Amino acid sequence: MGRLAVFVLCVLVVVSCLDEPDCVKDADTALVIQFKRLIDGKNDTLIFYRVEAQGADSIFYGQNPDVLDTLRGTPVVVSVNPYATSTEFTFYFPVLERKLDVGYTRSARFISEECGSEVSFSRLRIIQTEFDSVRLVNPTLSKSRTVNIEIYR
Amino acid sequence: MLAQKQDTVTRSFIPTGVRIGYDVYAGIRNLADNSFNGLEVNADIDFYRYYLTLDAGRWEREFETEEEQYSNSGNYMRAGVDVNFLKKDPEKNMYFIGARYAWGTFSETMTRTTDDAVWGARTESFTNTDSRATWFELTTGLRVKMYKFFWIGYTIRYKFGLNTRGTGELEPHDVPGFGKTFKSTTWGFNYVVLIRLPVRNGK
Repeated sequence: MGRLAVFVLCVLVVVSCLDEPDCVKDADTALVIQFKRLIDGKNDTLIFYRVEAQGADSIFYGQNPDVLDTLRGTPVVVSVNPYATSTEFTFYFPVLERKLDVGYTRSARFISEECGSEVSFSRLRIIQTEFDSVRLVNPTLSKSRTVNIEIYR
Repeated sequence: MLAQKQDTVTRSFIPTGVRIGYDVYAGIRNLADNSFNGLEVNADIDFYRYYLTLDAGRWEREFETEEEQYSNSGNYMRAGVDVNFLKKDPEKNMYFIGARYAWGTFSETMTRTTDDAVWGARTESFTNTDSRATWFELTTGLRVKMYKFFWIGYTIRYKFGLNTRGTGELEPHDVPGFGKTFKSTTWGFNYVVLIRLPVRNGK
C-alpha cells in the first residue's frame, strides 16, 4: 500500500512536469491591407509616398519623403500599436492623403516559463476612415499575414 | 466468521462520523516546487455507503522569465458525493467513486516587457482581479483506517468543464484548484491524512 502510494505520487509528479503547452506563438502586430479596383475587384497598383501611424516614430514605406513608392498588386503591411487598442494610419498619395482608424482587442497570455508570453490582436474593426469603400475580411492579426482589410478605389 | 461480520453492517442513513483531513501532497509540493504555495483540507460525512464531501483550498503560483513575471492566488471549494463500493466492510474502509462541483475566486498578474521595432520598448501589466471559475470533477480513491481515529487515503481527480468569468485582457493561465488552463481537462491528486470524529456508534 505504502509502496503503491509512493509510486503513484512519483508518476503524477513526472506527468505534471511533462504537462506543458506547445510553444506556438502566432500573434503579430502586422495589419495587412489590400487595395483593390472597384471596377473589377482585382488587386490594385498602389503609388504613394508613405504611411504614417499616429504615435509611432518610424514610418512605413517611402523612407525618402520626395520619392514615390509603388506596390504592384501586393498588400500594404503596417504595424498596429501593441500598447493601445486603436491605431490611426495616414496614407500619403501624390495629390491627397487618407486616414484609416482601426480598433482591436488585445489579449495577453502567459504560455510557460520556457516559452514566455504573447499579446494577440483580434476583433479588428474600422473606427473611422476617409476611404470610400473599406471591407474587413479577417479580424485577427497573425503571423500568417493574410489580408485583414480590403480597400476599394 | 466473515459472513457473520458482514451481516452486522446495517443499512442506516444516519451519519456515524465526520472525517477531517489535510492534503499531504500539497504540503510536499510546497517543498518540492518553488513556484507553488498552497494547502487543502478535506472533510466528509457518511450516509450509509454515500459520503457527502467538502474540500477547501488555497494556492499561489509564481513564474518568472527574462521578460515576464506571472503570479496568481486564489481560494477554491469542492462539494460532492463519494460512493463506497466496500459497502460490507465493518471498518468502513473505502474504495470510492465520486463527483464534485468546484468553484473558486482568483487573481492573476502578468508583467511583460516588450521591445517593438516600430513602437519602442515598454513594460506593461495585465491583471485579472476577483475572477471566478467553476469546474467539475470525477474522483476515485481509497480511505483506510490505520488506527482508532486515524485514517489515510488518496484521491485521483479528473477535472473538466472549466468555466472562467470576470477576466480582462489576460487569458487565465492557472486557476487555483484546477491548474493550467491550456487544456480543457486535467488530472489532480491528493494524498490525505484524516481524523475521524464519531458522532454515534456506527455498526
